[in-house]
Amino acid sequence: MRFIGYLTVPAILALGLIVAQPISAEVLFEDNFDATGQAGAGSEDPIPPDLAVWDSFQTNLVVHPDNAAGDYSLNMFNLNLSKGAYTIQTYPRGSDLTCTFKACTTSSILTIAAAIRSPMASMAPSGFGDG
Amino acid sequence: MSNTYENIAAGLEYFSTPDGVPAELNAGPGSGMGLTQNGAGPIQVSPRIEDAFQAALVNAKSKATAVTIRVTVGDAAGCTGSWSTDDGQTWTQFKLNDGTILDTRGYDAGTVIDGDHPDYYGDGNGPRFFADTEVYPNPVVVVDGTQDLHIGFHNLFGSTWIDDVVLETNPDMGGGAGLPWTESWDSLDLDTAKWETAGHNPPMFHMAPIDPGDGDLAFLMGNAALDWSTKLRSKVGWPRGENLRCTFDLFGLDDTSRLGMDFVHTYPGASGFHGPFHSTADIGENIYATIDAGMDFWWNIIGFEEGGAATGLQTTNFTADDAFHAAMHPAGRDPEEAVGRDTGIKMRFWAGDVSGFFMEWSLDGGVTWTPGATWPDSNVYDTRGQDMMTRPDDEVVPTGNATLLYLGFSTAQGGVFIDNICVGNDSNPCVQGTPTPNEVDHWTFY
Repeated sequence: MRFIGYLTVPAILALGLIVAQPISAEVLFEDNFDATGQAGAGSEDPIPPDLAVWDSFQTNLVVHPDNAAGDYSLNMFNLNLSKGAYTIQTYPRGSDLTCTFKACTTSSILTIAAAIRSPMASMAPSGFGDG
Repeated sequence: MSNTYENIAAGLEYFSTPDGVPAELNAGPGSGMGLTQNGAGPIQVSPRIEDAFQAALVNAKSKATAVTIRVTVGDAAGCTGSWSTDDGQTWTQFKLNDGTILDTRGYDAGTVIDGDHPDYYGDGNGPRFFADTEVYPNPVVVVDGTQDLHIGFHNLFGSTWIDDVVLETNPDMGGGAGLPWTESWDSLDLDTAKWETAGHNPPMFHMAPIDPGDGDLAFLMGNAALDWSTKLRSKVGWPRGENLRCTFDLFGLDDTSRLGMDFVHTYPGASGFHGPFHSTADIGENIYATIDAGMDFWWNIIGFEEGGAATGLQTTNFTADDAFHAAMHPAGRDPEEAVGRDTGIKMRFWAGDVSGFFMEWSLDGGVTWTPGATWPDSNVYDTRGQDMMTRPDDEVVPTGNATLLYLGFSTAQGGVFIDNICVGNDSNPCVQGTPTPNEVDHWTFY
């Protein structure tokens, strides 16, 4: 048989234990930028992200022109290496810490990939919120 | 103010090589989005994620076409990630164009991983680094071990839109359609995010998880009339490619009254499984008509099936050899032998990256495998890579070639249990180190 030797008995037992004991996911943070309750929400004008959560420099919540009305996203635009937003809070490594997000653009093919720098950062830039 | 690209501990970053800036930035070689870490420093040092990912970014022009990105950090250091263009239904792990997986979890913080890779920058120019090695020194990846992390997003140019940010621990990588995708029936309640059934109406029609008697839940399918009403289909699918495969355990219910059932036949009578890979998730379709890489059955004969109805129903395809039937139908060979989990069979189906399939089976829990072979000559059945095949009746028909494969199962009447399902591929195998069977080193169907 071709596959003899690829798995040891301890490995099989360990795999079985992993399968038998699923661990539930725990959401530590989420933000769909729906702007609920924020001043200016619904006006279709850019509004800042929740500044109690985000340390932001020139980022805004804006409804993408091709998205549903009221479905805000965090928008950053134009050339500026420092535009962006950090969570004020930090989160420790461990338990397969994972960040998931959606990303899209309204820019041409020339610019989309240049636009994202994400998602987990080791430090917040000093004075970031001051612009 | 810090330049934000210097702060990334685990994430994505755009880069362009000094000699590789193309007319179309991320769509061309030598530049694009890379998986970065350790503050990366110069923006040009990230290993470039494969072309398919760059193309997906180019196409991400609204939330409907957005790329969903997932970055996971190692518990001590390092990171990896994956991407999806169907809102997280299917995921592809970050890798280079040549298939090298980008995953530094498990390395110690500070470990230096050099870029001595044949196509590190994805431009086909081989391993080379920037001329000014004082500014862009080799090596190029230093594993990050920062313990406390912020979530952060930044812009270079263009207009970027970020949405639906979620940070979690112990993410369900098997949920949705991420790979590996698993199902071990840990609850009597069917996970309706993963599955859809039809025809469940016990005691005569059953299509739900149940305790077979040993306390370990399994999915029991069976019915009292050959009307094909009972079906199980996954709501999610996976693209062929990277040796997509499905492994599962199967065993029979020899006495239907034992569990309060009243099926017409006892296993193995009229007992098949009609799966695993189907061309559709449509619960309305007949289960025997949509098998794209799997096996159907005719009475007590199990046959290789692909291409669904295109290749004909049940009686026209190659049937499995006696060895497989002896393994699949132990009660049929020895009426005194109990049928149950202990005498069950494990099967693994390998979908061809474009078309066809190969299966193998095991009676020792997957330690050793026997290739599926045809009756009466015991020729190994392997149609991977073939676009057509010749049936036993000399009819030339297409092999299974659905680009997206879903799971589906049903018996006909006899009670059959399915358990421990896992769908994986080379990047996301169910069991690390499981080798891919060699293709076509034997008789084929041309």
